[in-house]
Amino acid sequence: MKTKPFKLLGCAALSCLFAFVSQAQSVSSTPVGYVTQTINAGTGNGRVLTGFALPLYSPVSSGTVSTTTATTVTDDTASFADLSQAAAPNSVKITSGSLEGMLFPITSNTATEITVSGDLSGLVAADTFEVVAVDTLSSLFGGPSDGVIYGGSKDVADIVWVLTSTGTWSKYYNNGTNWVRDARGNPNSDNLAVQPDSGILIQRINAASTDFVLTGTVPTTQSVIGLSSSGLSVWSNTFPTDITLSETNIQNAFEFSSTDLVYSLTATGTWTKYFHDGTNWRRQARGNPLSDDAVIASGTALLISKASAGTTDSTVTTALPYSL
Amino acid sequence: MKKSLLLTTLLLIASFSYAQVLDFTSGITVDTNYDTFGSTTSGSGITFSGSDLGNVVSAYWGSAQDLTSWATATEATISGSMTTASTSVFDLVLYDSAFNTVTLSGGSWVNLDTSGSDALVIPSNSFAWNDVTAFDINTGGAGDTVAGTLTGVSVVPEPSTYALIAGFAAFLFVAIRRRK
Repeated sequence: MKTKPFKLLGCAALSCLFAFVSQAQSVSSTPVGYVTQTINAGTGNGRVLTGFALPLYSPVSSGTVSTTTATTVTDDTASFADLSQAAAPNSVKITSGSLEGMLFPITSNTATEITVSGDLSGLVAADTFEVVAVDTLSSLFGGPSDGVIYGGSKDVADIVWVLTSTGTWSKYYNNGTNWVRDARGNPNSDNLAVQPDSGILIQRINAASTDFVLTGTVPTTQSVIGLSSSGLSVWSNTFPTDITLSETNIQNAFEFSSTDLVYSLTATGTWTKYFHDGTNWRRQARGNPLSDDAVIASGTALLISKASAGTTDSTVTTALPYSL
Repeated sequence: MKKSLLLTTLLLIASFSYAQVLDFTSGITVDTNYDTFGSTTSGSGITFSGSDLGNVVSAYWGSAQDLTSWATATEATISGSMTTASTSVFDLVLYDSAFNTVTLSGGSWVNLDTSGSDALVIPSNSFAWNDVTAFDINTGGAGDTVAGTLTGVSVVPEPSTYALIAGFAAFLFVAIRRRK
């Protein structure tokens, strides 16, 4: 994993951003650019994991809420195209108000009304939102010939692990032609959506690493990521900058307790576990070293393991770690 | 005199060999504070079974292990057998009595399964190799099952160590010949 404070590279617009930020001034447009993320090499015989998240995103339009229900948002001035195509899905990202930072997958829409999965309670008129393009496994990683992932037989292909809503893992790989799920019948999974706030694990056996270049827009809101009331959840650093474990704010999530654990991948592909003792983050190891400042790299994913079931699902709200 | 010199040589070689083995088959206790597999110990080694997602084999010795000869080594060999092997990786973290650590990385459950041993990379470090009190074996998978028994870790002496032993043996040989 790279540990540079910022992995925004090579883009003039981002250079401008840094210049502006360093002078504590504001910019008038949202910076865009690209980041380079590394998919760690395997050992040739052993598979090495990479926690993978998307630190940039792709807004396609923005709007202001006219009216809303628990599952719909209406913008009377909009003229939306079809936003729910299987191969080109979209989500709604709330950019102001009490739901700021939350993402809702779009299930259908009309020219002015969008229906989402999830609960929009709390969204009110005059709140703002964006429609953001959502990648699929196919659009994000392509196929083996694109040079990002290894494909072919399951034995040599990169395996993408996705945590399902029920807390179990689904595994996907590219068979050389399509993305398929590693399950009976190998269902085609080219169009599996990879939401901008999701985190996945990539498990590589090939002894060569790969740099993955992701283009998009720098987030301008806090991130809000779901935390299951039981079992495993994935939290992702969706900012193009490293932050500390303390800055993730996982410790302040509803019902997060001192017995819950956060799993972080080491450079060698094994897990380091942390817990929060009520005051500080500590590593679960002999001596329980203080770990508030443990670096959570941009574009990486953590696992959160609930020791015992809580009463309800909640969220982790992480403040924007930079000024724009 | 000849016999005593030979005995000295054998003891020297034996001491090198002894210091290079981390034995999991005796004098070791599972550390239930940190072991998450529910591992058990026996004369066969440490036996574990469970998910490779973040589980840890953890144990300690009753007295500090002196692994001074590992300080200049670059590779160790972990031995054992697997009943269920995933394709994920693992590493071995050694602790001294002050909780300082050194991480030997690059273990593969598949290699352990197919050959009964696997190589671990020893980083250059300033670890207190004469004061090894405990270890963790950290898994790197995402939820596949691993199960097996680990018997120990050894280090193949560096060429310089072999050269030292050979040089000393040659010296003794010459000394014995001169006495004749």
